[in-house]
Amino acid sequence: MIYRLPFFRGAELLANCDAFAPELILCAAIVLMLVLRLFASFTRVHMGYVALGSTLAALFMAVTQWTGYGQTSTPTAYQEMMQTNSLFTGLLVYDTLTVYLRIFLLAFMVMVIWLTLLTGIPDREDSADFYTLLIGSTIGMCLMASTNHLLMMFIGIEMASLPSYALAGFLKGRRRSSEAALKYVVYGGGAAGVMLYGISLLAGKFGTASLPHLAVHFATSLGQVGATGLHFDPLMILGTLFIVIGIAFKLAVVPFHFWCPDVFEGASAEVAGFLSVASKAAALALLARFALVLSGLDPNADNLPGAHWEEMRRYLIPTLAVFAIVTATFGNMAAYLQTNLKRLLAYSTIAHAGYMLMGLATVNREGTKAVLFYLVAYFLMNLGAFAIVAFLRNQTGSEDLGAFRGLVRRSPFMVVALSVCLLSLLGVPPLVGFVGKFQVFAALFDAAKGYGEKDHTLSVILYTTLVFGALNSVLSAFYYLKVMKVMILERGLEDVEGKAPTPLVMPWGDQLYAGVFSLALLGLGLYWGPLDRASAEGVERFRPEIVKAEVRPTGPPRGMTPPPGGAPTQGPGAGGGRPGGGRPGGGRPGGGGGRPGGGRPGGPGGGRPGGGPPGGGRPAPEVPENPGERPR
Amino acid sequence: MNPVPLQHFLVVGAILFALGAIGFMTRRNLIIMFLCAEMMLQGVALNLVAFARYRGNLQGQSFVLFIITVAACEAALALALILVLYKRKNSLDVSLWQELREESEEPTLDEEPLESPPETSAMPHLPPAGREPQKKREETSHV
Amino acid sequence: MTLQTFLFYVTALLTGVSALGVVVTQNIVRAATWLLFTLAGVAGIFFLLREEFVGATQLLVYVGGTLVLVVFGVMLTAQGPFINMKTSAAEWAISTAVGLLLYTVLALSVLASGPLATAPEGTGEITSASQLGLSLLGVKTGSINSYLLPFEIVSVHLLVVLIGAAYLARAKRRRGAAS
Repeated sequence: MIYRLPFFRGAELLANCDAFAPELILCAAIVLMLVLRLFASFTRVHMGYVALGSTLAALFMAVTQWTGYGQTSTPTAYQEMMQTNSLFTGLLVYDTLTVYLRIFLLAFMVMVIWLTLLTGIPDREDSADFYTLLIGSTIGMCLMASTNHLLMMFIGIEMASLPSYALAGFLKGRRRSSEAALKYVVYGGGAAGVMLYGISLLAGKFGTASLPHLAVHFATSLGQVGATGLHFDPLMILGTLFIVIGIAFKLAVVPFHFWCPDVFEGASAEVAGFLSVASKAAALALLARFALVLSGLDPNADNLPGAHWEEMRRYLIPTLAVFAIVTATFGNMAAYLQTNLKRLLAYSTIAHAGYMLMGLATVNREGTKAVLFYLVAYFLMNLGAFAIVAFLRNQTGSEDLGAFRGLVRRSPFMVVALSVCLLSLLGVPPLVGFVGKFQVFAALFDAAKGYGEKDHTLSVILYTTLVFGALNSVLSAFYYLKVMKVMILERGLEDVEGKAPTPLVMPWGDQLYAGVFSLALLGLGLYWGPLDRASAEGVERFRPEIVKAEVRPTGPPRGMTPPPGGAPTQGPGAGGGRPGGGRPGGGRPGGGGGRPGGGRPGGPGGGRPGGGPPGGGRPAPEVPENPGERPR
Repeated sequence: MNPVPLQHFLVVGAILFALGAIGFMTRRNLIIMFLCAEMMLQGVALNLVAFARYRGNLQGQSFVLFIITVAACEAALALALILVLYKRKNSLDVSLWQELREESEEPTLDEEPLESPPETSAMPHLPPAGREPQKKREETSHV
Repeated sequence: MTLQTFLFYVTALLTGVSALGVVVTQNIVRAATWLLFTLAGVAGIFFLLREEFVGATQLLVYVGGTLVLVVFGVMLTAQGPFINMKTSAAEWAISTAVGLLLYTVLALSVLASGPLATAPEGTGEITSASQLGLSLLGVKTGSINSYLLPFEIVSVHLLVVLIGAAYLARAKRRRGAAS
C-alpha cells in the first residue's frame, strides 16, 4: 500500500475548496445562524436577513466562477483540476453544467428567502430553524447537480430530501401540514431504500461507483451475452431501474408522483414553491448527468471503439420518452379537476416535469441546453405563481379557487401578475414560457430528424413525443384559462349580493415582488438571447471526468468486461473464461429480446478492439465501428 | 477464501429487502412501517459489504458507514414527526391521515376499523394567514 | 461443511426468521425486538465476512443508537389498546404476492447474473479499518477515492436534520395561553 505523497495534498484540497466555495459559504451560514441564536441580543433579529446575505455571497462566488471558468488564477493544482474536471478525487464534477445549476439554485434561493421575508411564514422565533433547513436542502441539491459518483448521488438526494420533509411539516400547528410531512417522509424513505438497493447492485456488480467508469462498463457489457443467454445483465438492468425509480420519485414522474399533490397542498405555498422548482431542477440535473454520461456524451466515447454507446441510447431514449409523455399527459389531465389552487399548480408542475423530460429524452447536448433554458423560465413562472398564491392567502385566508371569484375587481394588479405567470406556464408567445417550450420542441424535432436516417424507430419515438408535447400544451390551456376565467369573468360573492367588492390592500413589497416576476417573464420572453447563450454554454463544456485508458479492472478477469480503450494489461483470456460458451459465436437468438429496433452485431465479446484473441475458442468476429447500421 | 459463495449473501440481502418492502406496503402502524424501511436498508448494507469483501475493495464498507449515518438522521427526523402526529391523533394508524386526497376519491375505509381515539389539539392554532401572531412580552423571551 | 459455512447459514436463517417476525407481528414492542435480532444477525454476517469494523459500527450505531431511539418512540406512543394493529387478510394476500414476486426477481437476477466477483483474498486492495479511516480523512490510497467530502458534508447534514427534528418535536408556545 503506497500512500500518494504528500500526506495531505494541500494544494489539491485548496483548489477543490475554491471550486466548492459557494457550498462552503452556505455551510458556514448555517453555523452562523445557529450561533447567533445563542446571543440574547440577536433573538430579535429575523434570521432571514442573515440567510439572504450569505446566499447572496454564495451567489456572487458562483457568478465569479462562471465568468472566470477556465481561467486559472491559482497555479498547477487548479490547472490539474480543470483538466480532469473532478473535485474531491472524482466524487464531484466541476464543469459549466455544475456552475450553471449552482447559480440557478442560489438565485432561486435568494428569491425564496425574499418571498418568505415578505409573507412572514417563519416568524422570528422559528426563523433560524426554517432557514437552516432551507439552506441545508439547497446544499444537497447543489451536490445532486454536480455528482459524479453513486455515493454522492445518494448523499445529495438524502441531503435535499430530509430537510424538505421537515419543511413540508413546518406549520406544525396545522393538521394538513403534518399530514403532508408524514406522506413525504414515508414515501421518501421507501424510495430511498429502493434507490439504495439499486446502487448496491450496480456498484457491486461493476466494482465501481463512479459514473464515468460505470458508463464504460455499461457500454461494453451491453454488446455481450451473459452466461444465461440473456442479452443484458439482469443485475445491471434491475440496478439501473431502481436508481431511476429513486430519481423519478424526486422528480415526481408518473407513476411515482403520488406524493406531489398532497405534499404541495399540505405544505405552505412558499415551501411548495421551493420544492417544486429547486428539488425538480436538482433531480433533472442529476438525471441529465446520469443519462448523458451513460450514453457516452463525453470525450472518452470516441476512443472506446468497443463500447456500444448507440445501444445505450437505444434503451435510454424510449424509456425517457415514455415517462415524459405519460407524465405530461397525466399532469395536465388531473390538473383540470382541481379546486385548490396549490393542488392545481402541483399537477401543473408534474406536467412541466414531463416537458423537461421530453428535452432530456433526446439524450444530446441540444436537448439538455433546452432543458437548462426551460428551467429558468420555469423558475420565474412557477415561483411567481406560488408567491402570488401566498400573497393572496395572506389577504383572503384561502387557497381555494372559489375564494378568488371576481378577484379582478378587488386586486387587479395581482390578477394581472398571476395571469402573466399562468400564460407563461401555458406557453403564450411573448412570454419566456413560450421560448422555453419552443426550444424543447425544436430540440426534439432536430433529434428526430437526425435519427431519421440512422434509426427509424428512435426517430418515430421522438416525433411521437413531439406530437404529444404539442397536444399537451393545448390540453393545459383548459385549466390555466379556467383559473383566469374564475378570477376575471366570474362574479364574486359580494358582487352577487349587490355590494361593492372590498379591495384587497396588498403591501407594496408584495406588489413589487409580483411586478418583478411579471416583468422578468416578459423581458426574458423578448430578449432571450443572453439566457440562450448562457444555457448553451452550460452544456458546451459539459465534461465529466475523463476516464483514462487504464481503468483498473476492479474485479477478477473472469467474467468481467475488459478495460476500455484497448488497455494492454488484460491477458488474452480476458472475458473468455466465461461459462456458457455453448452458443455459437456470431449468432444470436432471434427476436431481439424486446430491444426496440435496430440490428446489432452478434459477436459476444467481439466489441473489444483487439485486446488479444478472444479466449475459449469462440470465433467472435470483429465489430465494425457503427453497430447501428449493421443488418441483422 | 470464504467458502460461502457470494450469491448466497446477496440472496440473504434480497430476503431482507423484499421482507422490508412487504412490511412497508402492508403495515399501517407508522413505527412498524419505519422499522421495515430500516430493514430494507439492512438488505442494501449486506449487499454492499458482501460485494466489497469479495472484490477486496474499500468502497462497500465506506458506503455502509454513510448509509448507517444517513439512516440515523432519517430515524431522528421520522420519529420526531411521528411524535408530533401521535400527539394530535393519539394513534399511530396511518389510515387516519387522509385529509389530503383527490376530491373525487373517497377516503379508504377499513373493513374492520380500529376504535378511533378522540382527537386532541395539544398544539396551538396558527392564524390562517401564517402571519406572526402578536405576542405578549413574556412569550417572546425564550426558555 | 466447514464451521464458517455452517455459521453463515445458521445466522442467515436466524436473521431471515426475525425479519419475518418484524413484518408479521402485531405488537409494536415485539416488532422492535425482532428488528433488534435482525440487526444483530446482519452484524453477525458482517463479522463472518470479516468486516469487523462495519459490524461493530452496526452494533454501536444501529442497535445501540437508532433502535434505542425507536424504543423510546414506542414507549412514548404505545399506550392503551392501540399498541396492536391488525391488517386485513386481503392486504396480506396482495402484498405477500407482490413481495414474493419482488423477491423472486431479485434472487433470480442475482443467480442469473453470471459470474460475479470472486477475487481471491489478498489480491484486491487490502481493507482494514485504518485504511478506511485514512480515506475518510482525505488520504488517497491507490485508486480508491478519498471520502473526505462525504464525511464532512454528512456532518453538516446531521446538524441540519437534528435542527429539523428538534423543531418538529418542540412545542410551539401556545398563543394566548401564557401566564
